[in-house]
Amino acid sequence: MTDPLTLAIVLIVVLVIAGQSVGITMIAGSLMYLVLAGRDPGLAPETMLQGLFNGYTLLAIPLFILAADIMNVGSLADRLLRFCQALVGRFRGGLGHVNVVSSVIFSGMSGSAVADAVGMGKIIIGMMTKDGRYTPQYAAAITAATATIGPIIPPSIPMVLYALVADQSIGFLFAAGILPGLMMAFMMAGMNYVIARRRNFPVDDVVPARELPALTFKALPALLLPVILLGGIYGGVVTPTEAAAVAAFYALVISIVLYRSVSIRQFYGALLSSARSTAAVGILVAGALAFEYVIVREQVPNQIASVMLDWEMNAITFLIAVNVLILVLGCVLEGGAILLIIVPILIPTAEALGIDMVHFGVVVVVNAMIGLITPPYGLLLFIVSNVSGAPIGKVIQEIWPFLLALIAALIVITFVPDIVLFLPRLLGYNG
Amino acid sequence: QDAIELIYSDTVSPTDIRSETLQTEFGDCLGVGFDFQPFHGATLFEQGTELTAMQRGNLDMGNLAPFDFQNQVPSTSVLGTPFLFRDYEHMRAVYDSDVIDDMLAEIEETAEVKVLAFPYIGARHIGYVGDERIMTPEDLDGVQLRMPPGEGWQFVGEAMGATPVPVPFTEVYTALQTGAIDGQDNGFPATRSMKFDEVLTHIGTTSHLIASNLFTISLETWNEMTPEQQTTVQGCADGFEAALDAITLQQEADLAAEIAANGVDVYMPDNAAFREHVLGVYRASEYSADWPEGLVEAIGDM
Amino acid sequence: MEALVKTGLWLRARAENILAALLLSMFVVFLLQVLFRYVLNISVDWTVEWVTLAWLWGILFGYAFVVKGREVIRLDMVYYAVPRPWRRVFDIFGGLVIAAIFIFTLPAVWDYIDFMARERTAALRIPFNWVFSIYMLFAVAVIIRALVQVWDAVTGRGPHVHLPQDPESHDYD
Ligand code: NA
Ligand code: NA
Repeated sequence: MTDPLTLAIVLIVVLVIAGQSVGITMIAGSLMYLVLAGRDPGLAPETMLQGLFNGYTLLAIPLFILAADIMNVGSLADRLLRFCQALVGRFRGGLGHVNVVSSVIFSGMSGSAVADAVGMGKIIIGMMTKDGRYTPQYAAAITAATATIGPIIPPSIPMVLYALVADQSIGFLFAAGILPGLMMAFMMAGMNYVIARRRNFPVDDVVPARELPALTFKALPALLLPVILLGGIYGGVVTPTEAAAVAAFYALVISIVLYRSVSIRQFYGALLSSARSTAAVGILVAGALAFEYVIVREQVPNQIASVMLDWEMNAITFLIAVNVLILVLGCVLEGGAILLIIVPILIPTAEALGIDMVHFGVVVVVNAMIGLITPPYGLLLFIVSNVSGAPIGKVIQEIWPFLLALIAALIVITFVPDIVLFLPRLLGYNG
Repeated sequence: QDAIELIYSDTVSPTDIRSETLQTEFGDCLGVGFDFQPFHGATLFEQGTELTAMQRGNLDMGNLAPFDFQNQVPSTSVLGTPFLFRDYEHMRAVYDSDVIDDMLAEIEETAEVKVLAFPYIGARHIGYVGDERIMTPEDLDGVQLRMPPGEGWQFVGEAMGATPVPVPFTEVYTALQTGAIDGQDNGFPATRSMKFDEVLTHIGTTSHLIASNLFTISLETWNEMTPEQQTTVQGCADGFEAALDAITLQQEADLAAEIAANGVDVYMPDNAAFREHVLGVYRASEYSADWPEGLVEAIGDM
Repeated sequence: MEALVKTGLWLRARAENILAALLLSMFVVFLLQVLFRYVLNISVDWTVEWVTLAWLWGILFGYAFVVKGREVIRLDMVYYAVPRPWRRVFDIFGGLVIAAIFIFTLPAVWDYIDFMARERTAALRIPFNWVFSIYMLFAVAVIIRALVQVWDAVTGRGPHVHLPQDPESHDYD
């Protein structure tokens, strides 16, 4: 590592701790690095502008936020809340479980954890925090933690990137993600259960069974939304990114036609608040893109990985080292860059140690996703903090139990390859 | 004296055989006087931004597609015209001859980069999910064919007779699987590395583009080298081109057989019909306005 | 002074209009794309480009002119844990460093953006210097906001004066 890089990292850490805008600080740090290193300062804005302009899969973010905002003003979210309350309100932590389940459903249509956190996340955080049932930080933390399931259950962009780099079948990798994704969901539901008991979360009165049909009917349009989106995607009508726009459109049409509940003023309000969140979150993505150039150009990941590979390792210690490495790098690099830079360096060793490459892929992707919620710098933490309005410090306090649950899931995934490989083997994978 | 630093960026996966070949045949060939630093997978510069990065002195080398030059040297669009080359031998003969020397001079003059070699990366075919074979441009009517994003690429799909859809490369597999698109056009090597053959039912070997990259160095970097160093770089680039040609041809033969053996219907459509249709569409389009006078004919006569 | 505030409010409202319009255009254009491609079977490539354009501009324009200080994503645990004089020091130091870096690099970045005039977008054929020009507005806004933050800290106004909310006030557990 050269001095300009060290100085840039120190500057970023100091400014972030001093409470300055995280996105702007990352851009400023990258600019300073370029000046000190005697390179073209235009490179940081270039990487940032080109990265945003080419970031097609990020486009789902503003549209899912818009869908959520429309559902909130258009009473769809309210109806959904009342239905969920009737169904699970009597159980402690019931809405927390709804959060987990919704993430599993959402993961079937999105390949991106960020889209999950801002899309479903916004609606469900609103439901959980309404009337003070849950604290914003708890709702935010469980939302961030469950959003990591998105790219584990197919479709998944990180899995496609891994398949390309490691020359593995996408079909088998997609299949391999399903059970680990469900297991992560199960672990987080378990953690929610434990916390709900321990803290004695409030429960609602039992809703008589005869009221259920009416509540279900009222919530039906909202309940149909995932059905329509999943049908649209797997029926080949829309791509996952376009599904975000369809979701917003559907919410708008239902609210206007069925409920007559969205005025022009409210629609404008939803547009503006969604665009605001998008800008606040987007500048963080922009800062990460600018800083990525610095990290890649200085070959930081390659250097750390090659130091690591100098150690004498067996399969177990290797997998542990890989887990730690990716969790640490996950603080500064998004999933795509990790897969493209680190994985090629690790593959020869993994193969030499006799590790199954489909198994290795799931371990690496789960790892990269957990890196998104690892304090202090995790993109998803910042996003849910913004969406929920909970201070980031509070969100971090609440994330620890879920992080532990996910790491426990990761350990199981790492050391019990059969869980990962069971479905691919059913489909004919011989590994 | 310090070794000459050569920063290189491309969009190919770092584990692709093309990346390995680049290191062994070009990087290692350069020897001690050079410090060759390749960055793969578009991790350093986004796809399509390498040319401006070279012009700004931020990048020394890249492996570009003809369309990357479209804005600055419009005449290069002729190299991206489908059915310009009959086959690999024809393509190689054209690039080895002096028939495009004027265009290369224009590239150096206008874009301030030097093309060192034209390594072959494979012929593009139409691969799709369907019940019946597509034999002619008419059969492609209404077929949603994924083409790379960008006007030049989209027009290729249109000229072939399909409805072109610009889906990002990483989303193509899922889009094929769900039916959001019916097909895509890539060569056998990319079809395999992106696992499209897991989903495709048919591959019609149209060979509509006999594709090579433009292995390019910034003119500034080039001019800073001594004549001996330039000879070394050019020699290694030629070696890289020859090696990649051989590997790609071998890969195409092997993969065609392997993919067919896995149950994909690999067949040859009525390529004469495609050729006639496509060239007709191009001649009538604004693209042919940028073509250098008589070049298409000169290439065709070779 | 009152007129100045009034103008400021009017400008902010117009900036909000523009930002909302950008998102609305993304929404409508994406729906048009689905309609064109899957219902009418017409090939379009300008739609995706417009949406990415609106996304890029929406982020930088929105951050520069619409996002308020308290909406900005920051790691504020330490900031709100230290005594008020320290917070003023943080704001002065952070504001000055950020403003200095953005001012110092502005000419070089302008050089890049101006240079991009030679490239155009694939579908709409918009010169890239226009597409990327939003960075200049963004950078100038970042500089001004950083300097305002410094001024607020020096004169004793700004967020360091009070806690955002009492940290325990909306705690239910
Ligand atoms: Na998914
Ligand atoms: Na969730």
